Amino acid sequence: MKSYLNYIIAIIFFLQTSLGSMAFADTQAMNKPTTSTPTAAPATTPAVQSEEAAEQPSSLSAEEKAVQARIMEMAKTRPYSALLEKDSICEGKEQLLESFINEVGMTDGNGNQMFDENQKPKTYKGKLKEKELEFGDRNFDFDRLSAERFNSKHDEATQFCLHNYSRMALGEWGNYFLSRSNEFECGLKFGGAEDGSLKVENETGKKTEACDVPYGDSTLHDFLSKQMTRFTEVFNDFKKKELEAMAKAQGEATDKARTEAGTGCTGPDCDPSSKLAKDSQYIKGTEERLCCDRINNRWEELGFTTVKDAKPSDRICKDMIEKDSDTGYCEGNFCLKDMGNCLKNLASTFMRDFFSSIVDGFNVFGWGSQLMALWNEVTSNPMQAAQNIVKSLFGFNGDYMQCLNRKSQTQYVCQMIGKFAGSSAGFSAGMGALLGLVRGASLGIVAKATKGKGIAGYMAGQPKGGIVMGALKDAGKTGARAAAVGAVWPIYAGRGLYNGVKKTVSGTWAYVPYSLDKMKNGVTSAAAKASERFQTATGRVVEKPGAAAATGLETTAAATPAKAAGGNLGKQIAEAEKVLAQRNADLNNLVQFRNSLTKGKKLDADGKPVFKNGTEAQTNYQKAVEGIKAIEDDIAKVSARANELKAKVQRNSANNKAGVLLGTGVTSYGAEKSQAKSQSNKAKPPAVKDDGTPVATPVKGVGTGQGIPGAGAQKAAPEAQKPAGASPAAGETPPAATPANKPAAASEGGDSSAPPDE
Amino acid sequence: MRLIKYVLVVGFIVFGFAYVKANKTRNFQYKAPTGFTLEDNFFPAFIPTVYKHTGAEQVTVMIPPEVRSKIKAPKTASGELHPEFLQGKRNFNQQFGIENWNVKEYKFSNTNNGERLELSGSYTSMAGVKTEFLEHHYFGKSVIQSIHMFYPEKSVGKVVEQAKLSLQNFNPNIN
Repeated sequence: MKSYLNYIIAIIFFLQTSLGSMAFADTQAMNKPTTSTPTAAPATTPAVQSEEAAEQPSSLSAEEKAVQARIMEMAKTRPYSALLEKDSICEGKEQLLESFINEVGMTDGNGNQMFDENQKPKTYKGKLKEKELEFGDRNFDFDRLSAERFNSKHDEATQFCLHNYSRMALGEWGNYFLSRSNEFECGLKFGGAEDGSLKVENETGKKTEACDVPYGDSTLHDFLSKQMTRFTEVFNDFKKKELEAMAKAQGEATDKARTEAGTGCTGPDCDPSSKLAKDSQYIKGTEERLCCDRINNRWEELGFTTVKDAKPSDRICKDMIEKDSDTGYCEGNFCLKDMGNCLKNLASTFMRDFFSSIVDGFNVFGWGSQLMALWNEVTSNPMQAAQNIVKSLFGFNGDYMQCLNRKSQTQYVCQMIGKFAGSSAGFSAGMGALLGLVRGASLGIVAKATKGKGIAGYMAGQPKGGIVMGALKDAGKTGARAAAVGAVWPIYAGRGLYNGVKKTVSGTWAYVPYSLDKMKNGVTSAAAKASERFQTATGRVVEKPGAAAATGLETTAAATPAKAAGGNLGKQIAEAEKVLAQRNADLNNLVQFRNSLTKGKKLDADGKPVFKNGTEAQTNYQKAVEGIKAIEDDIAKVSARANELKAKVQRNSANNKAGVLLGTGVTSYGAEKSQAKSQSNKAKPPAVKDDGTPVATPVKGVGTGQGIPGAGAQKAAPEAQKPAGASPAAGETPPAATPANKPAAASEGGDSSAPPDE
Repeated sequence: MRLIKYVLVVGFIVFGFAYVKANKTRNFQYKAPTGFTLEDNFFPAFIPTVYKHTGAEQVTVMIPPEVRSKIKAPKTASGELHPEFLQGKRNFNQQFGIENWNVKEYKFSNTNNGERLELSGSYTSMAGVKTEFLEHHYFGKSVIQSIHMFYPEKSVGKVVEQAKLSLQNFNPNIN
């Protein structure tokens, strides 16, 4: 019974956490920089898994964690294979997953069906374990996938598997469309509608003639627009069903818990030794454990401690979540006022930075002008605002808040905000060069690499929780830690103190489980910190695409390999090389200094100079030797990181190349030519056939099985635009006429697929 | 001991600068209608000046600090509201969870204090209440001064109308 209940609760928890992030998909897509270029699937999918993994209760054994780490590592380069890997969630289900991939007709540059020498339509079916990094290589039957994903006849394991598979498939296609739109300068992107759903948006001024090339019976822009619209329908349908499933699962679990625990086993007639009573206690215990696990996982990040790796004890955890203990603290509207003051501190932080800046753009002014709405909200509805802000700004869903009692909710929000507002140096770095405040001065690279966009970049649309979470994490990881926790912007500190904030703070510090061992863990050398910051900064840009976690839709420009290759990654490499050059120069100077000390000295058996004990020369020599070693270590670390970045650039470039090649009609019009053009990563003019006829570049379809009207494959192609490889004799049926045996996705909807490399 | 002295002296100087900066006298002139109270504000340089109506109407008028900027009114060549301005607002709403934010009307006009943008619309408050807003932005040569008004959609009548009228009499005094 216990294991069964555990399983149910684990499922609910999993759905909540995974869907909680999926719910942000629309807004994240809205924020997506439209300058994205084709990128590799692993840039997003592992993030999905890692985010989910981060939300899991920390009840995994070391062995299970090792398995998880292995699968996640594999997912970086082989995302679909990782799903099917031993011990992974879709193990043994390859055949099932493969069955959702359509076999579709291959099209030429105009979206017209291609034929082989026997005039049979050429078809293509993507494989799960081939070209895994290429967006759009697999033409999914999303309708059937949706039906199976939400088929209650499947066991939980299959549903888990299909859930993850669906998200990867949606992510692949979302990214594919965005990359096509960007590549051909179509000005199309995904945005969020008012009802929270995903919709297609036209970016003003971004569309160019490059997207007006003919495609099928219309233009590439129209075709892509319809395809993307269809994709949003599919996506929104998935999202809606996920939410429904989650609500249903929650309801069932609650009913089950009530039934099994028995509501009548709480009174004087209840036998404590009865099964009902035990079950009731067990369920309560399980809930508490889940809550404690959630809090545990983010104990430091939430600002409850300054001590690295410190975790709350069971007693503390219980005190935080036990509703019965929530007395004597939140009397009257004390918590409300307290919460309001904390929120005012947060809003003040933003306002201080905004009104201290020189506003140089409409978007920045528009952003700042909304601060008044925020101020109105935090002063009018503090509790609701707190919940909303925790969810929207810090990226934590309601699970954490629900776990905590009212007293702890106040502390939770106030500490998190206090940490954020208190670490204003970190935030100011996020706000950028306008303020002239740079965090991480010991390595200027850090600030530049992570927060290079400045205030305009932040205000113009960082993903939800992105920079704020980054600032929080940084505050927790850097030397700002001690200063950050508990510190609040002082405007309301006095008032808060008057109202009893002192109680809050002292209460919070009481939660810190002081331990010398743990304290020791929290103290590291400045050099190591600098190195950590450097690695964190550089690593985060590439390895944690942030908002991409929700759906696999790529949302950060930094996560875009091509851009990163020429942009952030390139900058990071340049900065790293600059540091290397500097450190090498330092090393040379120090070596020269050391050598100067050894001149004229006798050498011992080890080749070291012999000094008189206690002399200044001896001290200097020792310092020089230690310094050289430290610099050499430093160089090794930075060098390793630079090499790693270079490797990523190369890998991303390769992926990008493959992604661009996809669907360019290379078969008919010369792979080499197309490939060379594709690598330019710029909007291309229409390709030109040998006879001078302009040829559009095909965009593949969603592959829903229902099709999208207006695709080129349905139309009888003009003779002049027939693919070179098709060339039927005069009088024959035009090659683009839909053959009877053509797969549904291609024949009905004109969804086309990329030709395999030939 | 010496270090403490230095810290105290530097702290005093920094605090002094911050205090003076934060309490810089504002230039605007605004007369709130009857029934509105001015909330305490020790730092008008970065905290908005807030007038709240004490009645059930829950009308709030806010005057944020002036913004240093040389940008003109967010207007396209064809006289429409610039999409970047709206995008900035949408980004903010998205980041802070302000939902259903919509602009109903906007108007550009010239005043003695530079061009004025009047904006009105609604959003759903975090408590789930539909809230109306009005914004007036004055774009001076080097600063922008704004005044905002918020009230629940259900609030109608004299108080709301008087508050709206008071916005028209707001003098940013920025030129």
